[in-house]
Amino acid sequence: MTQPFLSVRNLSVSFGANGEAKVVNGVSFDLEAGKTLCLVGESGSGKSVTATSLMGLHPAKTTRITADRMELDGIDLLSCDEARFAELRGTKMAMIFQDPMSSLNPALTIGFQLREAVFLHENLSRADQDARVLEVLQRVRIPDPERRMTSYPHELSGGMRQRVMIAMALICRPKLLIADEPTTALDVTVQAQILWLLGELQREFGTAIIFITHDLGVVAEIGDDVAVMYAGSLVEKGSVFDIFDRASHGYTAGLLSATAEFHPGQTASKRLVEIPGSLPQFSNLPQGCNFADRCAFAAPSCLDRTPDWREVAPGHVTSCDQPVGAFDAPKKETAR
Amino acid sequence: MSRDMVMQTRDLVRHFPIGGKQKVHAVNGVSMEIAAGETLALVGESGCGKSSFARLIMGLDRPDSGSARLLGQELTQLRGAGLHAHRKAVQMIFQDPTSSLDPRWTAEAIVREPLDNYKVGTPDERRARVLDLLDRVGLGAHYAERYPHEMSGGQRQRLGIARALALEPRLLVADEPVSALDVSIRAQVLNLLCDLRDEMNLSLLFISHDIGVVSHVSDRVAVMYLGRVIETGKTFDVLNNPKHPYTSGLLEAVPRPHPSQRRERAPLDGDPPSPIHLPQGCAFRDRCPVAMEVCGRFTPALKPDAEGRIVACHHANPVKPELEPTHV
Repeated sequence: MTQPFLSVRNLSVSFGANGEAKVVNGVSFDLEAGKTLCLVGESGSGKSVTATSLMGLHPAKTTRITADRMELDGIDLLSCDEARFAELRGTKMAMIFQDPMSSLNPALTIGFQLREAVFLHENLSRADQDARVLEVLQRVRIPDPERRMTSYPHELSGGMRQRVMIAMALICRPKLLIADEPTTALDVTVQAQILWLLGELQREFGTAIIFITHDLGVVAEIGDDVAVMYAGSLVEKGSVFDIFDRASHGYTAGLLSATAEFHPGQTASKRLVEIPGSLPQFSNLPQGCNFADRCAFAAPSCLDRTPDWREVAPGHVTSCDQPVGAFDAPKKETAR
Repeated sequence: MSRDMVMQTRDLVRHFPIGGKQKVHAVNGVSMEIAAGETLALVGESGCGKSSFARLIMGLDRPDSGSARLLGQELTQLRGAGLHAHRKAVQMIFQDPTSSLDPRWTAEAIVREPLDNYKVGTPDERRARVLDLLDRVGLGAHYAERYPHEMSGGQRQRLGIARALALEPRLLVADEPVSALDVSIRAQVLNLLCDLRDEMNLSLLFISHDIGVVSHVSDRVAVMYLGRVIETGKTFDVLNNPKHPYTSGLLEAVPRPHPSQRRERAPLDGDPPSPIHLPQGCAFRDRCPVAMEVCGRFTPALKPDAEGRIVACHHANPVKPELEPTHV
């Protein structure tokens, strides 16, 4: 069997000198080249920490990362030291963040910040560096790229800044792009432009994308596979159609029905389905299934037994003890 | 003027000077009304003037021109005590429940402040009212002694709602009240807001960029672009059959709720123009897929088209027979 492009098995991350805060708990997933995996979850679900652990962005002193496997394109990320990670970041993998303004240096020009990524990793003349910067700015469809190279971040709109971030991430042609809520701070029309652009670039370069989001609409728009996280653990994983049509974990089902969506022909002011309660604290995770006390489908046994992983269908797994098909009835009118 | 309008603005204008002779044209002649018990959603992208408009009708800022009547009183004329009395009827819920609550105050002190400011009842009555309000927003009496940092985001936003309702306002202005909350919490807070609105027969100005949320809570919707309302009407009509090309583009940009409905066309391109240098004619024409020559010459007025839908577009309301537009 061929090895997937990115393979993570049983990843756990804890912070603090004694590992007292376990924020990621036994996460496993694979990602094929050229595909998009959406990591879905609410704040504190551990989705960003999962991604930053892949990037090696946590200081070794205060973080404990354990996994059975963490491999990117044949490279064992578990054995990488900081110097090796510095080599890999930019060339093998890159990351874009939610707020492009705070990710860019306000005192340096766009051109300088983009060039930095090139001269760190490649031995090119200044003219070649500039040519590369210009090319990548054109690729991300920034109008008037020559002029933009000398602009400062504050002179750009939010959407343009996020395009610069994407350009910076892609300038050394990494095989893996991690996008952490890249459109959450943007307007909906700009979000649509950025998602469209990411799709185009992915087709062009064959980049694998881990897309972190809490917005199921965005998942429906761009995901191939979806992994849903809750309170540090993975709760369900499958293709985007598995998740939207055959959600089999109570949390996924709850999220899908609690999301306010507009459906053509919908009459106004319909009451939303609520998920009761709030997210548990890491220091005080409930016994049994983490979601049991909020779950509409919980059985008494869910409160004291940690659920097993079940394969509902090939490639579609859930950590839920409820019989498969408990949530079969689609909660919403689905598409034609 | 009809009697039961809670809020009515006419040609409200607010330009912020930014040095030299330049101005940010934040609100460029907005006429809007909200009836008693009605929810009007104000929709648009950041920078379109939604929040500046909200500040004007809250009395937090003064318009350069135009009129804003709240409960039949001209807001722009009010000063001092008159304005103070008036603010009681209009209260606000903010986007960020953390920065809009004083971290050094307990929940009780936060909800009691408006009651103290307006000297409502005796101190004992105020205390009882605070506990009643906390109960109504789903926070038990034991939350009264807690500080904001001891609560979750959803609970803080409930506290913000309790504070806004303390003075029994007639109009509630909610500026993106759920966009900072987690998805699983949003539905709880939205349902609570709608329940309280219905119980208290409140009018609600609901500012949001989230079309999904708007479709669930509002009776009418007004779409703003660069400081102007470009389309308004019943939520159902506007969302199902948009008349303005910008409204169509905005709705198109909303992610589809199911992976089988993925976008196959490139979305609306570009950014809104700068509010400092307003373009001549229709502000949307640079991005408009059906722009005509006339769009660069005249700003379309917001008025009913042949079907009675209210929209500011030359396609819906052709200018004049002798200026019959030609496609460019």
